Amino acid sequence: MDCRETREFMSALVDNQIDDETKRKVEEHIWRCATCRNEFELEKKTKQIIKSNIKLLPVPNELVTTILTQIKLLQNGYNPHLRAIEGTSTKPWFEFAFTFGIVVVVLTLAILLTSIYENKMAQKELVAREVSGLINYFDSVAKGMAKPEILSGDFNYLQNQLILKSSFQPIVPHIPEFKLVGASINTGHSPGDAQCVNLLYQKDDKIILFHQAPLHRASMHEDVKKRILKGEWIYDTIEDESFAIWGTKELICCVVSNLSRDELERVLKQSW
Amino acid sequence: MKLKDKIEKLIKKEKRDKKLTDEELQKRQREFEKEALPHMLLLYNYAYRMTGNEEDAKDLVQETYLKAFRFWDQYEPGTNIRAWLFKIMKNSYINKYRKATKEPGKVDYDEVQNFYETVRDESFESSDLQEHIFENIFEDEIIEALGKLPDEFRTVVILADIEGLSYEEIADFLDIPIGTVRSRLHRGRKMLRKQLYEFAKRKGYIKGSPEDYEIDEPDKD
Ligand SMILES: [Zn+2]
Ligand SMILES: [Zn+2]
Repeated sequence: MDCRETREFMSALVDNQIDDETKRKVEEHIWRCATCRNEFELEKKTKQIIKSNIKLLPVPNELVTTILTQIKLLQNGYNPHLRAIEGTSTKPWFEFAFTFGIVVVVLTLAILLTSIYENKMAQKELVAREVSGLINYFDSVAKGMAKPEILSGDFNYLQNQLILKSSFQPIVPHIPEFKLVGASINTGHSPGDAQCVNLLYQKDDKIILFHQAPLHRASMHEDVKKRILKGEWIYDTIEDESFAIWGTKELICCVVSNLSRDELERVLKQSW
Repeated sequence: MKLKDKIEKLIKKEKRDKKLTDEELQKRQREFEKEALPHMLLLYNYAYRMTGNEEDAKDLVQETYLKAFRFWDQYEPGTNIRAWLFKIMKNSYINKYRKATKEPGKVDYDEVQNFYETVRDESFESSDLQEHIFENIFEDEIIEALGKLPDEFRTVVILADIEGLSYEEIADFLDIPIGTVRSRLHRGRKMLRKQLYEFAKRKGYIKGSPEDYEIDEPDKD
């Protein structure tokens, strides 16, 4: 065996992934040839240094959870009962059936997401960015892609469940004409154990999703935070959805709805 | 396309294509979870080393598993499930990252060739130097050096040296002959060593130019 052939089996020799016959030949050459011997030693060291420095990382827990949840969600898509609902004449908004809810989907809500925003981003766009994750979630709920984990028409039951399960004291307001139909507690949109609470209100084909999280744990853009801390209620729209965002002393609140912007403002003013 | 749109599309398609009973569905899900989930460590680490960060790695693994679940019926029981999952991930990776940075195909190949040409020049290392190359090397630098390898070479180094796969399995994962695994690994490690050499030089552990340590290129026995 010559140098060239030896090089072809160099890695195989280092890893001992080589048949005995070839191994014997390669070793024989290496024994005689100082250059190949050197090359072999270097490759062996290289492998060692990679192996000892780059260790296998554990799979993040939340990745497993997300995948399992998404699989369940996909599985729910197979649910024959859902087909029946699709066939009825309900508005597309209401293709979701509260009664089948077992799973809540924690889609990554970006509202509290720590993101690096460009400094000069316009205020409107800035606010939209803060809310877009929630809009996504809202959209998923409305389309039956996601279901609140607590489903009940009983206001007191929902309120009790929320107080039991959430890590902070949530607000559970009455919204005139709307009925509280579901709630979910999401973890994990920002690092740590930050929790937020979503309440789902319904009136015919209109939905209001009320999202709240502890203000001190909310990592949001400073400009938006400043406006909210000053007591401002920001109203705006993203495509078909309207939203409002404001703060209390302890909480950051955000509402997304398929009401028009003005209707939403009117309804919220009646409730607070 | 946003993830939720994707899921929605999948659901629609599934509803159209399949008329499975609840029991069959549950069996399918249990089977998938039992078979596919244990390999997440392998996939996550590969994704992490290819993308270089946790967020992208998570996205990639997530997408892989959703696709795998969607196409679960196409997996033949008894065949290598790791290879099957890996191929799904590799395709997702190529779609996501390769296109964004450069045209696939020839450009890539040229780049690899160029890289190889520079590495083929073995003068950068000699026995006098080897200790210095590996001296005072930090984990960060090894990770950085790995990140600089072209995808083809990085892939085999990750699979062999970090994940500890056999050549046979790597060949199966990548649909290439074992001989190609051997040569890519040999070259890949060499490229990495070249990078470490550059770092060592920059930090001053190695003085002078590589030519000072030149050795004869071995073409004859
Ligand atoms: Zn030789
Ligand atoms: Zn939230």
